[in-house]
Order: sequence, then C-alpha cells, then structure tokens
Amino acid sequence: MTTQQSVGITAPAQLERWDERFYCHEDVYIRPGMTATYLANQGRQRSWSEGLNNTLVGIFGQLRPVGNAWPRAVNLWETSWRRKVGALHEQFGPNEGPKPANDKVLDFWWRLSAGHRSGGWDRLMLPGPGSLSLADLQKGPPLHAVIQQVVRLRMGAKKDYLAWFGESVPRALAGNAWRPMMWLDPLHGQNAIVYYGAENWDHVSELGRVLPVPDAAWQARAESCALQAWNTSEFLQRK
Amino acid sequence: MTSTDNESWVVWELMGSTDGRTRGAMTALLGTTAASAAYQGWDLTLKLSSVGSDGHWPHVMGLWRVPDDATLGATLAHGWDDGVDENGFTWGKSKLYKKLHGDLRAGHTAYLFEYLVADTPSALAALKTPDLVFAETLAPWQGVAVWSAADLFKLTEREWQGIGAAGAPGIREATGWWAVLTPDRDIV
Repeated sequence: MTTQQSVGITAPAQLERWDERFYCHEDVYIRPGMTATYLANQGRQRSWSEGLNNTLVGIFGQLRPVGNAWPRAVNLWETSWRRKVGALHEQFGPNEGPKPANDKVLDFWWRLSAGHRSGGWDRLMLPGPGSLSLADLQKGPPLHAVIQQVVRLRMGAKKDYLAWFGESVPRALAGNAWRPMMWLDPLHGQNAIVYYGAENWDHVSELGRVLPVPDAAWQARAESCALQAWNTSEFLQRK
Repeated sequence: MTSTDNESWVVWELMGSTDGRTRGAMTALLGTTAASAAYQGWDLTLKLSSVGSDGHWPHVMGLWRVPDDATLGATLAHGWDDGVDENGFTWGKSKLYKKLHGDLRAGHTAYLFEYLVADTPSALAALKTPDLVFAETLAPWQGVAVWSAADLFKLTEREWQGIGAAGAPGIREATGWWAVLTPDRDIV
C-alpha cells in the first residue's frame, strides 16, 4: 500500500503535493558535556527504506552567549511529504505495515545516543514563501554561524509574517555578512522558525541593526539562539 | 558604568536543583566562568539569586557586560566547548542586549528584574521609570527593565510606591521577579 493510496488521493494536483518540500525541526536536550559527542554520532541521513531517507540540512550546537535551554542541539531535516510520511509510517506505523530493512541500525544509534541526550521537541514544517532550499544554500558561502529565532505570533498572523519575512528580510540583508537562510512554517501552531547565517561570528550586533521589525499587530515574541553548525551538516558541503 | 554603541549586555539564567546545584554553587560557577579563557573581556557586573522566578528554582542570574563585538565574537568562536561545567546546573539560558538607558546603582543589593515585550522598539525605549532598560539585540521590541534598592526592605517600599512596567503604554508583556546579590555564604 502506498501512502497516496492509504488516504485515497487521486487528483493529479494533489498527487504533486507529495513531492513538495517538507521539513522537520528536532530540538534536542543534551546531557551535560555531551554536545560534541551527540553531534558526532548524528548521521547526515537516517536509514529508512530506499527512497525514504530524509536529508540532514544542518546539525547545530547551541552556544552559551545567546540562547534558550542549553546544553542543546538542533537537527534540521529537509524532505518531502512522501519521504517524511513514509519514514514516519515505518517508524511509528501499525505492526502490519512495512518494516524497514535496517531496524538494527536505528536501534543501535538510538541506544548509543540515549546517553547523549534526554529528550527534546520536534516540529513538522512547510517552507515559507521564498525560503531557501538545501540546494540553494549549497550555492552560497558556507555559513558556519547561525542565528535561529523561534517567533511566536498572534493566532492567524503567521502567514502574513512569513510573507513579510520573505519579502523584506532578504532585501534588508542584501550585501550584509548575514544572510537569511530558511523561514519555516510549523504545522498546527502559532510559531515560525527562521534562520540567518554568516561565515563567522564577527558581526552579531550588525544583524540586529539591519533586521526589520515585524508589524506590531502580529504580536511577535522571538527567542533568539546562536547555533554553531557541525561540519558534517549537508548545507556546508560543496560538490 | 559607561555605555558605548559597541558594547553588549548578556543576561544568563542558571536553573539548579536541590541535590547540590544550589544558588551558592551556581554563583560560584559564574565566578569561575568569568575567569575562564573563553570569557576573557566579559565583565560579570551582577550575580543575583532569584526570589520567585518564573518557572524554576533554585535560580541564579548573571548580568555580563561585553565591551565590543570582537570580544563577543571571540567567545562565540570558542563554540560549545567554552569550559563551563554543565554538571553545575540543570539547564541555562541567555539573552543578548543593548543598553537603552540608565545605570546600575552603587551599593544596591535588591532588584526587581523584568522581561518585557513591547509593541514596538520605540515603546520600549520610551519606558523611562526603571533604573536601567535593555533592548534585545536581535529583537529590539523585547527587553529588560531593572529596578533596585539598597535591600529587600527598601525594595518593598518601592513596590508599595509602584514599580514594574506592566500597564505602561505599548508594553504587551511584563514578567518579573525579585533577586538579591548572592551573599558569599552558600544559600540553597
């Protein structure tokens, strides 16, 4: 049974949606002193059945000078609805569903990582209008220094906020050391998650000086975090 | 205390536990951090123990002054391996600020510390009654207001006279708590 058949979708326009970009944010509570150990153990791809692998855009460690809930790590996966739902079905679906060929690989990783982290929180997300893809990021300079903002918004304001972000932030940062990377829309919530990147940490205050301020009517409340990208992050790789 | 455009201020919060990560022990950790290589140039201007913090106890705070972007950038470049003993607290958080106006008062030991969310950066900047106001570097419509007194008795009298940013024009959220300069003896 394919994922499309399972929900009875047949319209061609809807079938195309299965291949649209889709993201997963994983916020990870790290055990004391285990940030580097956790990051080193995290692969760039998880081992699901062929065709269902999700790509690890970035894996990051929280830096202490700016951010919430340290020690902390962040994983950002890029995928499609088809791949993500397929992988979730393999991991969490009913017992009679398809079994991944490599359960043992996942089990081994899970046991090893259990000593590195204690839990976390995840969000499934859509790209905001104009949000860059992994392929887009790989065309630019490697952005090792990343600022993440989790922006809580008034109910109903998220769509306008993300449209504004895609329109105004790239323009405001044109020519700046900092670049907008992704602006993402978690399903079923009032938060947006946005990322800015620079090649190094030399100009953090400059980012604050040039960022436009969101409309007061959206009642934005931002949590800002400084994240260092781990070197195996896919968005840092150049072919 | 003088202010420059280049300087930053950083507020740390450390969340402890009753099995040894006391306010006193976490304050000692702040002092150790201030002397470490990764935080060279950072000035730990206040070491506070919270009374009634929002969400966790034991709870301490550190207010750091960072003289310029180069010093901040050098610390960030150390990565997560900055020499801080993460067994010394259960979790921590930090926010990066620019000073809008005001100063710390010499000799004061008791504080009302408020996190604020304003409608706009200008609404935050218009807040003149606190002793000290900061705006978040990366979200300048959010900030901190600090009110202080010589001791908790004097702070109580300020409370009766009316302090706190709640209700000020354009202030959407104000969440605060009392804090005292952590004494040298270990306190839980």
